[in-house]
Amino acid sequence: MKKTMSRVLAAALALSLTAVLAGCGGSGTANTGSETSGAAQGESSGAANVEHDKESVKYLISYEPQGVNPGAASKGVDFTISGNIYDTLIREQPDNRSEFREGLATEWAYNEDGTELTFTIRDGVKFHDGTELTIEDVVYSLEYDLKQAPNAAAQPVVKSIEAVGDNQVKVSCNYAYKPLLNLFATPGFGIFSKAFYEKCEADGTNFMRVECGTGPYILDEWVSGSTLKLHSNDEWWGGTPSIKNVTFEIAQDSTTAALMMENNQADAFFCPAASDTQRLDDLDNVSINWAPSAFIYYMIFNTKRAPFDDPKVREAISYAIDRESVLQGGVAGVGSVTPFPVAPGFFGYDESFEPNPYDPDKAIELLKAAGYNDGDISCKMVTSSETWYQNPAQVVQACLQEIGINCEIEILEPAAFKQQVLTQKDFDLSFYNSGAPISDADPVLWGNYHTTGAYNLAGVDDAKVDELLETARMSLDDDERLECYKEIGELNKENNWYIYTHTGYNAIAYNSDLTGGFYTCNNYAIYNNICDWTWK
Amino acid sequence: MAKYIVKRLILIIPILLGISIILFTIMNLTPGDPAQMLIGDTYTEDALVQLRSELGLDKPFLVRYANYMLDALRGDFGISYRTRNPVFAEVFSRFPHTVAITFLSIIIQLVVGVIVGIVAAVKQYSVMDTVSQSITMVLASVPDFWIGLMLLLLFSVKLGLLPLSGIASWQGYILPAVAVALPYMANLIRLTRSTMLDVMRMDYIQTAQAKGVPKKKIIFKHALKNALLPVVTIAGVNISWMLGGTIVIEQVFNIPGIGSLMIQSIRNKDTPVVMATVMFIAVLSCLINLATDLIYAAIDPRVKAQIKG
Repeated sequence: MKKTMSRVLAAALALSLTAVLAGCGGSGTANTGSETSGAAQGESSGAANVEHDKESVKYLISYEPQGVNPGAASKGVDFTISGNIYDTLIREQPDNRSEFREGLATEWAYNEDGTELTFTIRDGVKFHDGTELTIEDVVYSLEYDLKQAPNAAAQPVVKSIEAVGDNQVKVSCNYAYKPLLNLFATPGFGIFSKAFYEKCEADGTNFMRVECGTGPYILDEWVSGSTLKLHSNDEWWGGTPSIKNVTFEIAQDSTTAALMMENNQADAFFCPAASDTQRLDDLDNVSINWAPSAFIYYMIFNTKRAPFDDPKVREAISYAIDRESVLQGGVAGVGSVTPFPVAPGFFGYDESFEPNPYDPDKAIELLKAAGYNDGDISCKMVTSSETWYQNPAQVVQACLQEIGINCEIEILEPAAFKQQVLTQKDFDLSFYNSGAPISDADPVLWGNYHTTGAYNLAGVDDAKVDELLETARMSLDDDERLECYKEIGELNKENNWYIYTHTGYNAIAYNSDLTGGFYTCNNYAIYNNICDWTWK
Repeated sequence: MAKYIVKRLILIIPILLGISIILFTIMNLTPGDPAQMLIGDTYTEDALVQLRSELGLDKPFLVRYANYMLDALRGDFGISYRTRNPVFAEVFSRFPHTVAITFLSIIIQLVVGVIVGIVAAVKQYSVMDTVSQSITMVLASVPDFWIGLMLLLLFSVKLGLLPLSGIASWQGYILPAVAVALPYMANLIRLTRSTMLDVMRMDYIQTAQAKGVPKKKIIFKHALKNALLPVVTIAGVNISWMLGGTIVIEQVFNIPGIGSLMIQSIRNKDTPVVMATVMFIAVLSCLINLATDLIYAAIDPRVKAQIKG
């Protein structure tokens, strides 16, 4: 009897404990106090009650940057940090990325045929070590940056970089390239001290982990896997930043990072998970800035393999893909339907483009006309394990199922995916994305469509497309370029090498009391200028 | 005893050699190109070839392995593909955090686990026993990351007693250590209770009781020593597990430890860092196993005799 009672008691206690623990998670945890923040967080308990000093910002990043040097920057976080340490010659205007504002260059001009671009360098600029910026530093930096892999888009364009006098630098190109200014505005083309770099080389210091730039912030400390601490450069040519101290903290877990934002223990959070974003957006103390991503998602046909070598099959499938469902089911509606091969906001995007409509009956009819009945086609769609590929791919699979195509999804780790799909091109169908560090159609379309393109995964081999890409690349006439890209969109509609589905949105969560400079242009270029931020 | 320790230490060498061969082979046989992971999304074929050459990936597998081992024997564990930092520095900047959490956690497990286990056994079917069994049942059943999040919500968000993230102060280690400890502790309580119950039913304990030896003396002098043998074994195994298995907790609490470094490096196919972290954990595990055996010998005269013999 005693034993039975104990068992009953044990079960009751176990249930109660579970309920209590679950209750911790279920109740609202919003703390809407906005006068406190996390500058002092971590040093003591109950940091949420510490008055913010109005000169500090704690910025959560989801992964550790590869390096802070300009050439290493290949992802959003790297750009965000190096973009605040190193100055570029020019900077994009936040509200119009085809317009530029001054950086280290005060003036810039093309020659008549657009093959030479000359920058006039600002006088009196000092590096973080106190030495003066010279034209030699600028030339050396640009040459170094150009050789780095993330700047590959500029490599075929730029022929030489040379100093003209003691305050001008001339960039000579193999051909006129309209997005050249956009390239030089990315943090990948930051300017650093030549003497400092040579010293690093001589004494074996890892240049990726140290810096000597001219930008608004100076790197104080980098604790591996944990934080990067910066302080303001009070001698910056652009004025003294209002935010004096910036701590980038690596927050690997989005839920924990969102809790920190909720409880004023952090001030900004780069790219919260979709599941946390809505909750953060509902809080009084947190605001969200949304921006279209540079990445456009699409399904790829391997046109070298049957049955996808048959344009009629590809056309049939183009009527079977319900883009709205892919957006809703794949990324919870966070993004926009994008049937055109260029992301919205990029030069070359055609808003008027009309894709083949979603019409599964017509798709079945076209498949029959091509000689395929229900269940005749079985294929494998290879995609990467990241949720932003995996989930939309499952919706695409359901769409194919609806027209009688048996599609199996093979999910691979990113490294294995890149090897199998990008290098070996071993797939029937794939689901992937494309993006570029500059907001111009050229790098993405060249990569996907040109016969020499590194991302020509569908195996496009079309002389007309090559000609259009080459014309657009070498033309300085915006209308002509737009027309070329529009025509490539139409050719893709005709041939269905790729079926474009959607573009995602990126979010940055920030304390509602922070203002200024929250422009998240795209996934590459979320180089928020923290020097523009101020506390209310 | 010294001879035994030296023999065990020498045995670590072939173990490490075996691990290094298996690991290097796995890292090379699994699909994925480290250069392609590093180069970003826009690149040219030439740039990729150049990067492969810079990383030494264009050399044959055996040449790469031989070079790695020769360098490692000289104390040079290479450069991280991703950060270009010396791997040794990367690992040694991270390991103190993981080791601190592991040892704090094992202290919590042993102190709470053994005490509660003994009380539950001595007072079998009491309220204390029932309560402890109920709690351990729940703790052993739920995943550690969930426990971590619940602890964060309770102690950091609701009560504001401890920091939400990071290890800027010693308080930052408390919640991760507790989160890691709880599931292991639950098992330790159950193990201590069951072994203690077994020992308490043995003839020599009943003889002692019949002779009128005080209960406390029976428990602490006669029963506990024997009941602790499996507990010591499990504690040793737990430490080895925790050194490489705190990955999820490190992510929840934003701890820059070995686990998070290892998982990040595996994703990036950063072979030198993966090799160094796994070898580091392997060395520690071997040493902990040795320490466990020595503690075992100290507790159990039969084992001590075997070692001496």
